[in-house]
Amino acid sequence: MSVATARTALPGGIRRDGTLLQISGLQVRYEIEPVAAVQEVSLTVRPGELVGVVGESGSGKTTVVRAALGVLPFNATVVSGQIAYGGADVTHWRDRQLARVRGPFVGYVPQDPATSLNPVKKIGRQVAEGILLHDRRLKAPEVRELALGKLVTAGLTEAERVYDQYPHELSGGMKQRALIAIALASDPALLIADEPTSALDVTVQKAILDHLDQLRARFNLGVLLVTHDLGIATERASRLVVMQRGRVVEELLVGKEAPAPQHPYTRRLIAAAPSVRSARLQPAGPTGPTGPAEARAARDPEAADILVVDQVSKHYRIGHGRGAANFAAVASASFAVARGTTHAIVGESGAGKTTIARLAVGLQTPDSGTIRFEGADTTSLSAAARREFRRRVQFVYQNPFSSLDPSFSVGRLLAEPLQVHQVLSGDGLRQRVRELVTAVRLDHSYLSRRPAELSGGQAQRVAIARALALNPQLVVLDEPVSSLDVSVQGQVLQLLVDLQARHGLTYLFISHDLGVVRLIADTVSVMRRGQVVEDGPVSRIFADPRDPYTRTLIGAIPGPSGGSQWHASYT
Amino acid sequence: MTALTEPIDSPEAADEVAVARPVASPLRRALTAVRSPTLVIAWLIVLTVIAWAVAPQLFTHSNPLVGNPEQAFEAPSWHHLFGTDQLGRDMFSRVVYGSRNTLTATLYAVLVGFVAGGTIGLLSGYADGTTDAVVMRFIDVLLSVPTLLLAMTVVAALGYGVLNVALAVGIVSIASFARVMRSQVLKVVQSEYVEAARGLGSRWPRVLVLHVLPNSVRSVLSLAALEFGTAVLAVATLGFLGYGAPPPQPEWGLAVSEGRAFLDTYPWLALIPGAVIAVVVLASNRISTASRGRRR
Amino acid sequence: MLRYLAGKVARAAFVVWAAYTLSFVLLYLLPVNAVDLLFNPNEQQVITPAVKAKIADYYGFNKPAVVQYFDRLWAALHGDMGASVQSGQPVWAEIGSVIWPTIALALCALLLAVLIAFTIAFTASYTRQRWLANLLQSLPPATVSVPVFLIGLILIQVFAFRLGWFPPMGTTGAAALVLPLITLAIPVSGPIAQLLTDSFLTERNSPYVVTAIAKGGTRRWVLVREVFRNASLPALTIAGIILGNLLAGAVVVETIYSRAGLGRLTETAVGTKDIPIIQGVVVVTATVFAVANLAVDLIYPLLDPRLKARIVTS
Repeated sequence: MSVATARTALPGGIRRDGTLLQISGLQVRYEIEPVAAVQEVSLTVRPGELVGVVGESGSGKTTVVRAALGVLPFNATVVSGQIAYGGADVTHWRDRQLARVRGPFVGYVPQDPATSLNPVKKIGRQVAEGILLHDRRLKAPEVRELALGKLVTAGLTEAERVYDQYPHELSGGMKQRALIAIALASDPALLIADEPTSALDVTVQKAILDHLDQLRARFNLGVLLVTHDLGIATERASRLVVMQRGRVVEELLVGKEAPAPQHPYTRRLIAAAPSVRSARLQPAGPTGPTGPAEARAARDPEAADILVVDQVSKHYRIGHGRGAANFAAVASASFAVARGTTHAIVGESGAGKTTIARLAVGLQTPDSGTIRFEGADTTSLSAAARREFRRRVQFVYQNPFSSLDPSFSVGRLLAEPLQVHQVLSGDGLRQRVRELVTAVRLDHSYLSRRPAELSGGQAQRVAIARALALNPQLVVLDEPVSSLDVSVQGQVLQLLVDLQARHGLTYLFISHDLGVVRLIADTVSVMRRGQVVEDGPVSRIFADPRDPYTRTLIGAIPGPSGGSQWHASYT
Repeated sequence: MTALTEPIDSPEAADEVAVARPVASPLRRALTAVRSPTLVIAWLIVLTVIAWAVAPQLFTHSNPLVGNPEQAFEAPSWHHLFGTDQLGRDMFSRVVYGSRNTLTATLYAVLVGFVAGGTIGLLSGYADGTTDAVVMRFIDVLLSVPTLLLAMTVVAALGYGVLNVALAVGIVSIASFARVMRSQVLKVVQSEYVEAARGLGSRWPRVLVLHVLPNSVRSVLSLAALEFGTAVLAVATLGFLGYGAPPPQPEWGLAVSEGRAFLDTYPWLALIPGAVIAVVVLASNRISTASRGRRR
Repeated sequence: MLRYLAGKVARAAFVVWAAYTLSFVLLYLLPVNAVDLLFNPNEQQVITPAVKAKIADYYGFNKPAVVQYFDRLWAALHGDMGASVQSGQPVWAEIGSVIWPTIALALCALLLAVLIAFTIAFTASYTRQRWLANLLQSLPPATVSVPVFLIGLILIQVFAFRLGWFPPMGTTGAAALVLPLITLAIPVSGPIAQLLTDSFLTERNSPYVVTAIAKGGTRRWVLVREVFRNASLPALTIAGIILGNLLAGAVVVETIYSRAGLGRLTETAVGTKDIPIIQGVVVVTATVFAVANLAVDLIYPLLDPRLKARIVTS
């Protein structure tokens, strides 16, 4: 196995012991932007240490990564401060000089494995280049041997096969491992990982993070891990740097017991992180005519089921001609949703959860099985009944910017369902639209805006308001908060809980994130490859998971196991 | 229907407003436009030549058709901005009056392409797979013959003249309009917001008029700006080859062709009208780029 | 794999057939009196109605349109596109006698255009000088805005009349090729340079480039070894447009420089309403277009492993 010694001498007196990365007083400014993207940022990384940088979008964490690697875009400049590698100031090094230390001293693990590999080059060659660029004396067989070794080190057991494959032939997790192999190609002392797992499924995420941790210990690597996920950071890092709007607001040591954040933003961030909260959100403000959901469901489970999905299957054809194959997106899935409760469908990509959501609202029809809404089979509705069904069941998409017509104003968007079903017109319509926008906690000035002029959270509120316009009984939400920042995510979830309590709504909530499910759902079905592997009340599933896959999913939720105590101490 | 309750003030919600994207007011948009001087110049150029075409007599007092033979071949001067030709006609006035022939033909051409191509594209994108496939194969065929050759073929069939040239250029541009419109319609029809509108219970005609058309037509409009420049070039080229307006009449492409005989001795006769064409096309392409940029 | 191949070949054949049909409809059915079109406009008066009737009978204009169409298509399939109205020579002979100078001109111009386009795209994405990058990026839209005939006339005025370096017209000799070549290459390079510049700049900002920089590639290494291939591939997709520009350019260039060639033949044929020749040119160019696109469809999968995988599995 390769030993972490430099094959080539590092320029500029860079040392592999002592402080590996030191950023001090960094200020980065983009052209045309009035405020610097990064201000007065300082942090250090020492050998064998994993430092977490946590922040939401717009916090400047990506800019810090790019500055640390010396790959800022053309329109960004380092105004002041310095970046030092192993004791040498590299802030103003030229491209050629930096190229000599990128690889042998610092390695980079990118965010999106799908686009971070060159699509037209074989994996082996991409790793081999990382070696050859820094040692041209090596002969082809030696390079191949070394590159294969790197692939194994990165956790790709079938290195020989992967070596001759193209990126599109690998899964997301394997691509990320190949990228780790590239980062390790010339035995760096420092790894910079920018959201290395945010594009991956939770179980894969855990495996990759575990592996990075092992590599850190094995090669005494210094790791800078940038993430939006507080759970990941607290679980893995020994020190935590919290960023907000371009500044470091707090630096925390993470030990066995809960850290003691001082800054209100950090406290709020921890409070909002789904992975450190364990209890279902409680409605704030007035509740509607009906009592607590679980009690109602317990009284009369049969009559309480508003939606019953029974043995439903849906197949897709992949490809065409002779090579075509039938792919079961959903295979004999069954579950029931009780009136006034939230039922969650949770699973990783390819589990069939979005297909379930679309079947439930009638956007697609099942190949077999039945879906009954209020006792009536939704697949055989008359035209009039179908229209009524569309009024009573509403759908909220994952991405509000693609599900809201970009040419409509918020006011028109909210009025549309009322006009289509001719429930209101004139002053009554205007009044109702104002009520709706108020109900999702936006003020009336938003009525004239277009979707492009809203933030992600605001746009999703509008989408929720539109779904509520017709006073539906069931709202199906397909990953409604997964594209939002953690703190915004918390607000939208709270809004959903409050609206549910006030109007006695029933939710079918699709999510990949068990942490979010725990916050909002009463019951849950865990799906894997089109099948429901386990279902039951959320509290039972978390306390006593019976299916091995459910256990894996729960185990993969990032964050310290004592999350509940953490939460208790910050809210 | 149950009323939704009064607003709940929430500090978090207020926090989020701070990161909302700014609203672009029309005034700010206008200011952004002014910040790009090339765009302002481009608009000035296009508006000037349109004014030439609408009211040429306001810009020149010389007769474009009758000249003073004693003043033949005068070099550009304050009196004759673009000089005079072999018959002593003022070239500036011939260019100004010529803009009427050239721009009218261009306008008709773009209109034919826009209306016919846009309609074909809209219906094709909206129709079922088979109809769409058949229509698009024929559009592919139109695209497989070089535009100039196709235009020349149409002129050969219809005969010479400004209107026939306009029709030829228009027919040629149908294919690209249809392609852009169709791909845009397909994109919009498959979009989630159209699906969402359908999911609300809207019927197809409503969805087509309210959602599909407004969101598809914008990209076709920016293509129209681009096609304006292309059409000026095509009309001028056909005029240069002698298929457009018959000789005594002023027309930009024809003017270059007429001046070509004197290129060695009196180069401005051909080069100035040529430069005018180039400047107008450059200007309209600049406008088209700007309109595409705003859409993003 | 075989299905892919068969589909592409069928599509190419369809394009040629449809171009033939389209030109038939335009040229033989659309005009009010096809017979008149067969004569030189200047000779219309001297031809008696009797002769016209005889000619109409000979060409089959008296028959129903469908019968005419199939008669002609059948003949065309056997290599008979009719004869030139002006010279009486068979269409293929007329086209064959002028096509080679045009092909030589077009190939040389294409080579030069590709060279210009790559230089612009590569320099624009390599340079650190913002003004140079901006200038280079504004070049491609400018070249397609200037009429080909203006470029030609300026070159003649400067390099033939003023400097006397090259002959202003003619077909013979390598020197006579230089100015036409440049005139044709400039507008043809425009769309290629536009696409390549956009493509280079997009690819340069894609995540895999950061990976490549982070493993120790210098800017030039990354541009040449990582970006170049990915950015160049899309240029193949506009092969049809490039061919169209080459031919349209050839019409103007050959007219300006009085060169013999396909473009000049087309220009004369439209001027004299030589319908069979026009149709012949349409069919020839559509064939070239179809073959070029077929070649691109077959080559592309070999260069892009993702596409190849999709074809093999389908």
